[in-house]
Amino acid sequence: MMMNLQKELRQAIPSLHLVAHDGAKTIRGRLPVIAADGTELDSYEVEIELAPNHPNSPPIVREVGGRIPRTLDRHNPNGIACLFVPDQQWEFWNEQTSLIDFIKIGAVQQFFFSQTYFEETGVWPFGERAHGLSGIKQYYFELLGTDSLRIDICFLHLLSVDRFNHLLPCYCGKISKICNNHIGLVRQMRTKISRDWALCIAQALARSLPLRKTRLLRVARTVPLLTGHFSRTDRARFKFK
Amino acid sequence: MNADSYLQEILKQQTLKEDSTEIKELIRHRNEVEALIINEFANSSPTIDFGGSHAKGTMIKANFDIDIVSYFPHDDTEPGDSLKEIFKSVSELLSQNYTVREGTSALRLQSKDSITLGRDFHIDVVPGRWVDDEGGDSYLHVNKGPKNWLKTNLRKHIDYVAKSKAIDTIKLAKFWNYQAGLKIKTFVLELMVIDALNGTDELALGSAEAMKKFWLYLKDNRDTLRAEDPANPTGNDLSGLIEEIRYTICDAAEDALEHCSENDWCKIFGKLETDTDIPRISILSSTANAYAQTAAKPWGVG
Repeated sequence: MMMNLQKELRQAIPSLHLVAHDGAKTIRGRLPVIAADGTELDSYEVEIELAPNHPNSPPIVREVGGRIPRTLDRHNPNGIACLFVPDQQWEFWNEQTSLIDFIKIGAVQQFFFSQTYFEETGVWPFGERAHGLSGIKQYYFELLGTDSLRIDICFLHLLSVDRFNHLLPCYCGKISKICNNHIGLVRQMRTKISRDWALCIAQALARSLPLRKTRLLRVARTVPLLTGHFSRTDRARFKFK
Repeated sequence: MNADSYLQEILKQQTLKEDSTEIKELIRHRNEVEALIINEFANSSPTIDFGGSHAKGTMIKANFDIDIVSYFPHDDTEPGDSLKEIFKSVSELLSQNYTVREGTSALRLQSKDSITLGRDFHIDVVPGRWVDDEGGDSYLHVNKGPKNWLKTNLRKHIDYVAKSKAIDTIKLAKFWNYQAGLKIKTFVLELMVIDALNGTDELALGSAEAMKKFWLYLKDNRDTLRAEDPANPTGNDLSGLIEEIRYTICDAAEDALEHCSENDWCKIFGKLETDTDIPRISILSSTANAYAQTAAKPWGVG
């Protein structure tokens, strides 16, 4: 794998080099930012650390030239580039994604292009996500075309249940079953987002609801957790703290 | 445009003038560092000076770093008894104004401001101690490796590079190092260029021929590539700086030679910066539009 990757890199992005150190594999060097017309717009010194379980997890990308401030506002806390929200990993890093494409034209290239664009205009060309949980919440708002936190939570809950069937209450509020025009998205997203992650985000979002009482009431109204649609295990897992 | 004129144009574009904003900024930081050190160690009389590529005249615009040496008298213990103590006390002092990243022997200065936090100023402060009163050799603390100190001589380094008359080739080699993303330490690169050009006609220095000779040297010494500190040939082992990237360097040199044989110098050094009618903002916008449908929005762990 090492030799192949080295060869691919040498052809596709000759200014990046694969280095193996203490068992870890890292791609280091200068990443050119390429304009639509193929010219080099800018470049960054980067380190791209392949995950120990590569390619199952995406690499960690760092800007090491000290050019991008290490702040959340620049999406670069501790020097680690926050390329996208974890819930979008399936879009940018999946079985079809090659490492070279990920770097050369995919999320890595887009991140550094965004940085150059921001540096020169003060605007993020593709927008930006809020930090932390709020950014994840935004993603689901966009995905579901809503601004309701309850709907986000209910949707995530449907992604997290072990025993899924169409008779579960829909995230839109319909109690009797999942609506026909919503079930496709739920099924699709259940293949993209892990159960545990969905549960963890649902719980975190529920905790972010303003008041404990209101929170419980709101959630109970839309997600009839106590109506028997969900298994006991599901109910136990979906506890609002 | 032939290869030599192309390289001359590259050199012109990579020259940093003394009145450039970059140099002015470096001088401002140097003065700040000097004031901090002198105020703190009022009873000492440390030597604060530019070292590295600024002193040698080998700085390039694309990737410039400067060294600010801060050497204390050999019998002065105010900043600390040992070299490590000197290193640590200068580090702590600079931390008042900067984010300080401790390197092998130098302290890298970065921004401490909340908006630009971590932005690199391209400045390394090198604390050390003179060996004697003559101000030639100096001792530096070393963070890594078996030995925790090294003996060096800044003046000898500067003279060695100046005497080689290979400044232009060194600048081109540095630009190649940057373009190819190799990260060869500047000092090691300078030594390798000088070694490779040993015996070359002075007129050929800085030319396409000199660059080819340098790459050929790297290619031919794939397994034996080394660098020797002229100030301390036996006591300062530089092999660790080459070992990890030895084959990457040689592969890149091989690629460069291949591009030379095709007369495709742009593949090595990139296109020359020319005045274009298209404003940069239009290029940025059209690129943003090309990506817009599929682009990832940056996030923050928070």
